[in-house]
Amino acid sequence: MMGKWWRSAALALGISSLAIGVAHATQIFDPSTRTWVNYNPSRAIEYYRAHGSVPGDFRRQVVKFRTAEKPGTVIIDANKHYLYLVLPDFQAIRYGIGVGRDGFGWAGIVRVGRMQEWPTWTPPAEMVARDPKAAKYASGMPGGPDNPLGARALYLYEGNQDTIYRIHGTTEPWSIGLDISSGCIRMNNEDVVDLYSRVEVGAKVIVLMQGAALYRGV
Amino acid sequence: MSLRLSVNVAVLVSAGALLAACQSGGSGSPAAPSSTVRQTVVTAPADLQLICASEAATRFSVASNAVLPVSSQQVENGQYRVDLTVDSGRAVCVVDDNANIVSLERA
Repeated sequence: MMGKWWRSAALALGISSLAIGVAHATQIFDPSTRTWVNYNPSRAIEYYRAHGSVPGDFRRQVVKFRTAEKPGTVIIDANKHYLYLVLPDFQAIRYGIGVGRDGFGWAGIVRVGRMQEWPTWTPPAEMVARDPKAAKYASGMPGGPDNPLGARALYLYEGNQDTIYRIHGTTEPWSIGLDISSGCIRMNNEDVVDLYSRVEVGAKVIVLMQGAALYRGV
Repeated sequence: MSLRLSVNVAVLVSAGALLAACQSGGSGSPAAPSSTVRQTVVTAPADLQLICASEAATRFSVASNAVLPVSSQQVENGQYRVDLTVDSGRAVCVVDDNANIVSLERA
């Protein structure tokens, strides 16, 4: 599946942020030291334990969004860990997301091919090969509260082909705001349920991620 | 007498509170930011990147799905450079905070 996509075009164009020695990182403001600190998994877990939620910027909110894309379009700003659902009147709902970790991020234009409540998780062969925990579920893990895809999944297609990437819920709500996945877009379960109720099969999904492998074409 | 004492205490408490507020505001510590999250690399807001893509599709007469922003950076206050793939080529767009296209050229 991956071979069908146009990989590494961004690198070929010389636009990789790594190539120019600038790494993207998310930081949060620590009010106790009044400094900005890197937001990594351990700090995210610590923050979630202390506050019972992710930082305010990653919580669902309606924002101004000037675009010619039609309402119902999904736009993902992977660098900033935001997913926008375009609304009428130059507005959008902005949700916090987790995205692909180093080497697993991607950018492109795809569409929602199908949607599923409490989806079964079937790890791809590559994941089964490299992750013993995934190997246990090589034939599929039934949907439910312990399933890593969470409450809902939107399956992303390029044309009529499943990209193997999804927008889905999570059992790790603290991970919103991080580069942590194998390329899927993760949301907390309340947010993915909300998104699922507003999106239709066929919706255009634009994924922006600076310096990532590039996939195109609907 | 007790009324005068109460008034004096109230004045002192108010003055103390005002002084504390002034000290808090003028301590030299950076104020808490309005946003609690930031990125170490400043990219253009997603809507501005897509405004560039939409304009490129129109100006270069290509399908909107053939244009994708792949990189962006702040070039000066209130302006962003957005690099686009357009079909098999590239284009560079500069857009300002008010969503005005400052320039757009094939690279």
